[in-house]
Amino acid sequence: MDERGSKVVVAGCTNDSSSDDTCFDDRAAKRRPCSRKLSSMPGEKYLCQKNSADHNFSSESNDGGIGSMDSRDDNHSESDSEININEVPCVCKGCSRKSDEEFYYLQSTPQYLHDGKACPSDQMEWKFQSPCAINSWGHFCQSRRDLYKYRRSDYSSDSDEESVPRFNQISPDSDGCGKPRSHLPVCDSLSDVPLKTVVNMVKGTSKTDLLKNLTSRPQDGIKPHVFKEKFATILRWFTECSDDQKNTVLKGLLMYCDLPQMHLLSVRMAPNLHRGCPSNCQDILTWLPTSLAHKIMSYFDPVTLCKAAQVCCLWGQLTEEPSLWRKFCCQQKWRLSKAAEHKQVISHMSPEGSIQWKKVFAERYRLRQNWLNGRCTVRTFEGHSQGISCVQFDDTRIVSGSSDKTIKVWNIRTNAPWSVQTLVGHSGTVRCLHLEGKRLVSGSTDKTIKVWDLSTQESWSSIACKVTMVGHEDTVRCIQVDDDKVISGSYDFTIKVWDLKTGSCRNTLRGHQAAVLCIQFNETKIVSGSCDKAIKIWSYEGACIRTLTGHQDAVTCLQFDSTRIVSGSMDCNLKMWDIHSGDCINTMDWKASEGHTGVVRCLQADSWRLCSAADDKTIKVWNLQTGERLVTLRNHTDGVTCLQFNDFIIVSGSYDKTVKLWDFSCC
Amino acid sequence: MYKKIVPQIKLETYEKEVFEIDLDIAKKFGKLVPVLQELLNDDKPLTIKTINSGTLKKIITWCTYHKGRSPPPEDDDNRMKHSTEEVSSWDDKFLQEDGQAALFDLISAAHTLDIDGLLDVACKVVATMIKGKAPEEIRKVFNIKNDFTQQEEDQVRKENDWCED
Repeated sequence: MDERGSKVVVAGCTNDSSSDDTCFDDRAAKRRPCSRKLSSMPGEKYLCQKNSADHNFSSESNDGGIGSMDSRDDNHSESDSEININEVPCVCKGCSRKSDEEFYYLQSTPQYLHDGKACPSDQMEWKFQSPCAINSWGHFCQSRRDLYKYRRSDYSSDSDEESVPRFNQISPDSDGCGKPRSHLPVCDSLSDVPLKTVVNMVKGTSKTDLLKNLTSRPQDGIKPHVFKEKFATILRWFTECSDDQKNTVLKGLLMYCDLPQMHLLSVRMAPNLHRGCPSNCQDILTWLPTSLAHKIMSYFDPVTLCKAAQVCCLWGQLTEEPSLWRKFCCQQKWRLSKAAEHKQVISHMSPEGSIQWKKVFAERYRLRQNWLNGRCTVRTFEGHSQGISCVQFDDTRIVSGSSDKTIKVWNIRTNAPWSVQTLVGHSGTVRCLHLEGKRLVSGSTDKTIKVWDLSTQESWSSIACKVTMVGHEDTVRCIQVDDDKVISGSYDFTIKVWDLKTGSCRNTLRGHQAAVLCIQFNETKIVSGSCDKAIKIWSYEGACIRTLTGHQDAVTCLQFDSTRIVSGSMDCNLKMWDIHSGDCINTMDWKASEGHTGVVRCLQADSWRLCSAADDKTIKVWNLQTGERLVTLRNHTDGVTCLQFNDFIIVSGSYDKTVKLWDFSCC
Repeated sequence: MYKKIVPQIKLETYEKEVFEIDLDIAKKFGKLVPVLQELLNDDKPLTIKTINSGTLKKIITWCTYHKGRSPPPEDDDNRMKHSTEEVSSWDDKFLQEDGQAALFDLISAAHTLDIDGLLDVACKVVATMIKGKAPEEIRKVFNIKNDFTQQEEDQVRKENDWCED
């Protein structure tokens, strides 16, 4: 009972301690910064009573008290309870009221009372709440319910007033506190008081008549001097009542209030609602155990979570929970490439070794927003004397091939716009590059493929060239490399599979009717696009499994994953294909999809986005799932011929002789 | 008329009101089930002081309504979803009709009784009430006082400005 002196006493906890019933209470009381013991429900707090010392729950442990109370309590929420709402005139005629519901009154939130402003309308909606002793005024009654001992048997069974207990008898073992004076009607039943106040007027009438009388609302009321006298009496009675009794009186009066009274109440009460309550008395999250607050927050989106962090100190602390942010980071939408994630997580490791997931997520969020809005910084690398035809990059460098027959290596880490190395050796335009680690493979219009070792720091670059593969009869237009093989496509209509180590040709795939412009392979198949407007899917045995047609012109670039192929073409369109059925799923053209207006030269896709470069000098970023264009990037002064991107940057090359790095991570 | 006899368990609420609940409804009470089954033959009700009658009544209504409906299997992908779209309109109306205090009681009670389905859906409803609102709007809804100092508030705003776009 140590809370008794505090401002707010909460019913749930005070009497729990004295109970030796089978009790199930797992409420966690640890977290709250409040000085008071956390009991439970905010509803309890709604009824902050000034004189909380009056709440003496220990009296309930009196056996007799409980025994007699039980019968009352049973009624309390049953349809024939003491407050039988069906029997009293509805305050609001429009609302359907269930008999087992109680009026939800003063403890309701302000907006409910404001609903009363809608009084004049026919749909005034009063909120009702199921009988809920902790939340409602029942709380007040309970604190001294041993004073009110009556049974259902007190009521005459067949009278009109069956549900209206006439009065209550004071229990002999009552502690005398708040004991009603003998001359006062003890207001225990809700409808009792108003009935008594009017009983002089309409003595002898049955309740039904009485109610009719009341609802008819005589315009002139009673004579002024009589009113004055009666009013004084009522006031005197009221001031003499205990808190419980006052509540009962008010509840009773409420039953007889009509729209004007309700409106008055709404207006008068609005500023006083929750007066004296703790400032966060309606704050669900504060009063729930931490785990539940986090559960609620787990349904937030990231933006809401950020807003919630700014609500108050406690919400701020709650939103710091790492698991909330880790959950976002693990969602497919917010994933980065494995290497990038690893790097990022390590950079946000606190000294103690825990990962600051909120910061990790914030970074990813910002990064994605930058992509979606095209916010990036652009660095330009100049040095080639002719247009760029191909570009590749990794963590440390960019390599670019050009019509000036050279390959240049640029340092991605420094801001130096000049190249660190120039690889000379090809006797024609360098048409394609593949960079993997220190190994660089290039194809050229001189019909050869060269393998370079970039770790060689010699200025004489021909030393860096390890292998030259000769065999194609025309320009090598596209290549892809893995650990042991190189696959290339050529203007000589063929695709060749080469041994990386020895440089010998293992296999030649024939089938295209024109130059092969693009290829990609995985473990099981090779996919190629050609000037004959077709895309072909090949097995490693050299058989063409499927031919996809649909583009109006040469297929210049393509990429596939387990489910689909995306391709770009001289016809300016991008197409998506079902890799299994070979059907075209989607076409992104300039008309319907704000697509390219020039030849599409290059494309790349990852889990959610697709980037394409075209002769119209732009790079476009697309939503891979929907085919929706997200962003158009303009900075090149001539057609963009090639690009590669990762989660943070795009590197592109152009006929304008420059290589550009579009950095989305630092805005 | 023949009336099927269903095993019932007894729960006593804060108001010392005893509710008799069909066992197949009480089966929703997660970790409480073994306790309840033990009490099945006992005449003494299980007292749960932190739940009031109104709330328990609502819980019984909810469990009865959802008796035949089993929750969708919660795989990883489902859990990842943070959308609140899957709250049925019945649930939404049922949970919101009594106001915030009742919703709070319900969450609290669902937690105590370990009714996962109800807890999930109720938490989602609360989340929906908060979603898309500015801090000031949230404070208004829950009558929360901004207890940040100016300095703290600036700091917090700065820490969270990345979501502003």
